[in-house]
Amino acid sequence: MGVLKWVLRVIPTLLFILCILAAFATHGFSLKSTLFSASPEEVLAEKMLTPLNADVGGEEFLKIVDSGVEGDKMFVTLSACSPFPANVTVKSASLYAGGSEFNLVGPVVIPAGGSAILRFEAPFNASSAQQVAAGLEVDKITLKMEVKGVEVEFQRFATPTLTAADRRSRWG
Amino acid sequence: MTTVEKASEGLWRRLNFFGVLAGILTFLLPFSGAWWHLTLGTDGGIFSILASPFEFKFLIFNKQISTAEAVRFSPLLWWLCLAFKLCYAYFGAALLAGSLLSLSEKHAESAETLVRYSALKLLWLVVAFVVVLFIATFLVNSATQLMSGALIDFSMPHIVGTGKFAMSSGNFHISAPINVGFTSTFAVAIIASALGIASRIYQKRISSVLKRA
Repeated sequence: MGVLKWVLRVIPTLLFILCILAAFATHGFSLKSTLFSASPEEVLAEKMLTPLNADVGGEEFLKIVDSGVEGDKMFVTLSACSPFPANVTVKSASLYAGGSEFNLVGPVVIPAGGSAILRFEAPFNASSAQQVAAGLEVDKITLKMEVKGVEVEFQRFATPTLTAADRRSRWG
Repeated sequence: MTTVEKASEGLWRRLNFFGVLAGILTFLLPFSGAWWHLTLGTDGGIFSILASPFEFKFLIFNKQISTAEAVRFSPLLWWLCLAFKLCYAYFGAALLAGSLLSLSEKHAESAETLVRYSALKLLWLVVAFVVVLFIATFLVNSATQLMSGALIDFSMPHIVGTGKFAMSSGNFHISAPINVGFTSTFAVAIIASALGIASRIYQKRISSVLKRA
């Protein structure tokens, strides 16, 4: 019985030793690369970005489609592409353009990997209306989205802040 | 009752049913999936961790990171998980063999050795897993409390429950519910552990009956 007990105990020990040896042998007996072959953040980031790039296909997340005046309201419509392989609900959003604040009319669901139109409206304002009619430049956009219970809120400055050199080149 | 019937009844009593069941379950457990999960978000979430002593899986939008990517994380951890898998399949096989061998008077002693050796192995693993999880969640919570006021607000439930994760950075803010809990495979592991205890007690009874006879 002593032999059986001995054999029973030796087999798991051997299995562990062999697996540890195999881990080191397949990574050139380097402690660092055996413990962490690649940094976990690197692999996760790679994995996180793959669906983003694959589904959006390099398209911009937000793109201005149209702007104008309708009755006593000004409007801006944006096309939004889902950067995730899941439905994205835009709960609320606002943008600044031509000195006016536009608000999203209602929540919009962007289908997984697809796109949807976001319509923003603002009360009519004579000074802004001219700019709206001439074509808008969005200064700042704030979005509150929800993806699978995760709420994401971000601000994006669509028009980069002008530097002194830019101003000189534009206005002489 | 005839002599043949008596002998047949005695034979069935010598079979360690608990051990047979526990052995089969212990053998299959390493290949039956995760014991515990952590999900960021709802409805499958955007990120999940599935863990057991035999494997660690990461899922992003329900897409599993492949074996090759898992090896890239930590080759040593991957190989250790493999060692655990093989060892517990071996313990299950030993328990099954011991429980069946108890039918034979000739191999009764070997049967007892096999059952005594392997019956409680799963129980210790289940206890160790829960203790490690508890320590890990405690450390994560303590580390987050130490960083209070930082950009990350993180409350991790201890082993089972719901918590929250929030992070702010400049113009970006993200908040998500965290859901952690055990899977049905863990329930199977507990049942197998209980059967393992029962098999060890029953094996003692079989041995004492055989010694008296």
